[in-house]
Amino acid sequence: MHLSRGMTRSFLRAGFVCGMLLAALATRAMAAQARPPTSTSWYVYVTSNEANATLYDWAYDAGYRAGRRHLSLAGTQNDTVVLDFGQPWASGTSRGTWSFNATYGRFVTTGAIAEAVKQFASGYYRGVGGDVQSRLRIAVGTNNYGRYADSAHGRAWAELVATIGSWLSANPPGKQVAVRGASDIEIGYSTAERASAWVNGYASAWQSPYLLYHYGDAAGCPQRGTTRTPAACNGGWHQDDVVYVSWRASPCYPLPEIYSNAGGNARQWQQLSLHSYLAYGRPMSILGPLSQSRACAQRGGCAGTSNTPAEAWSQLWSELNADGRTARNLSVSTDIEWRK
Amino acid sequence: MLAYTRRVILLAAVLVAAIAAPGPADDAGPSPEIEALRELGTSASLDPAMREKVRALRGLEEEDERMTAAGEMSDEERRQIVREKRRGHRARLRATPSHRPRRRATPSFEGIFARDEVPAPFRSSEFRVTNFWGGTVDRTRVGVYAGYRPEDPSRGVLVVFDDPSDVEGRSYEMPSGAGPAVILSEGDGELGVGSVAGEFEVLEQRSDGTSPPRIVRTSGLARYRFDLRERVYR
Repeated sequence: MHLSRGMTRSFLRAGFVCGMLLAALATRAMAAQARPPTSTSWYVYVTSNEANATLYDWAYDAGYRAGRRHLSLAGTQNDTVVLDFGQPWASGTSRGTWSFNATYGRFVTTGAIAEAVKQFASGYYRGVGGDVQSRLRIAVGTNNYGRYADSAHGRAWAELVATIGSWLSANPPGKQVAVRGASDIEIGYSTAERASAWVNGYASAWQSPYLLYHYGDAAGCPQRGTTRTPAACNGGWHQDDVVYVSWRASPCYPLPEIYSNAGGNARQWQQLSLHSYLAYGRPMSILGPLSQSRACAQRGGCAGTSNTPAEAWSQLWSELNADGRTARNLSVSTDIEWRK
Repeated sequence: MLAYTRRVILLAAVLVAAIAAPGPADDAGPSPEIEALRELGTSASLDPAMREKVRALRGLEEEDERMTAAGEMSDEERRQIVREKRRGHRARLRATPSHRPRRRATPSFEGIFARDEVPAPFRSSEFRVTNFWGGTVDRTRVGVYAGYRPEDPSRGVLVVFDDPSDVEGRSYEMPSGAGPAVILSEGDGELGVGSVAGEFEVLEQRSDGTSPPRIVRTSGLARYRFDLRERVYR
């Protein structure tokens, strides 16, 4: 078959363009997943001379701002924010949290926390206005520091989250807002046994859909060389302990702190997911990274641990997807700051 | 020919850019946990812990159905919802009370408290608490945490809080590196501060985490007095 010079040129042109398209598609398949808009999470610091009403007003305003932001963004949002109320605390028969420092913070009961979260949800629902499809998950957070971080407190936390969930189911904000439990479980805060006891307390009283997000750390856990035998982390913890409190306990999902500018945290969590794969046949379903760049800016910097949300996302996604056994897409990007 | 090649390259570049660019946000879709559990549920061999995890799927799907149903409404229903939201917001703003400070602040921690008896506002990678002193200096409430930074347990540190809006506190390193700081006594506007002898794990942010944690042994021999007004060690 004889092709004219013009037809040959056309074929070559079409071939070239198709080649470029295929190359582009292949590039896209390997390119990092686009990061969703980053939400603002909060250390909800309540000072000792603040009335609960002041907390509730702040919560409503912060939720309203989150809603307005969703309204201003193109498309439909599906976002997560953590509201961290501080460490477990109790006073008499009442449980709750101590809001950060001993001198100027104070005890906040689970009742006050529930009301603050409802206000945040109401603010969001009204702020998001005509965007009736975007959604927000509020993760109600505490941590594993101190003597009250025990099984009974874990149980009380699950009941708190379920109470908020029931209210959402019965009220308009529940059309666009869901609630989850959460804990900043840090290796340096307690032994693995105490952290597990708190998680087991939560697990004993939780009901779906009120899952528990682990937004803690993996200090000292390996950054390479993981096998199915759990390796040591700091503080007497092992990889297995972190995998348990962040994933293998039934309500748990990891939303890990990815703070390290050098990428160490992302490597640790990839290795934890790999350990889960090697020891149990499944990697962890990591939701996404929590970064702290705003909190760092408020505190005058954090040496070596001030990843921006984009850096945290890129590090975690790249580490997970560099190994087929842990590869997955992420859905959450959130950055925490202080309520001051 | 050159112009023709340029046109083809330009066309290809535009196509590549269009394909590689992130698209508009997708619909809200199910929550990320649902996708994870559906994927998990397809696995033939799940251990008991994962089977237990998959049981949460039903509750998550019910929540998702509730929220999806609420999002699927007619234009008139949508307008009605938006009007209700606006009315609710205006009512909420009108209902805002004038906030007076609490008449009686929560009793603060006064005196010396062990680590487990006192709340602390630090990330575990930033500071580890040994103990705490709380009290009043020149009519200002002051809280002092003694301890160390986990990257250097040999150097004792005091962190002072004297301002409710300060979430970080101000740090004062002990002059000598003999171990984590511990508050031993209080009186006359000063704290007696010592260092702790023992073995402490070092948190190395930049290490690759593959070697066992480094341990430092401290002598615990330092003794100082910390002036709470001048904020100096003597």
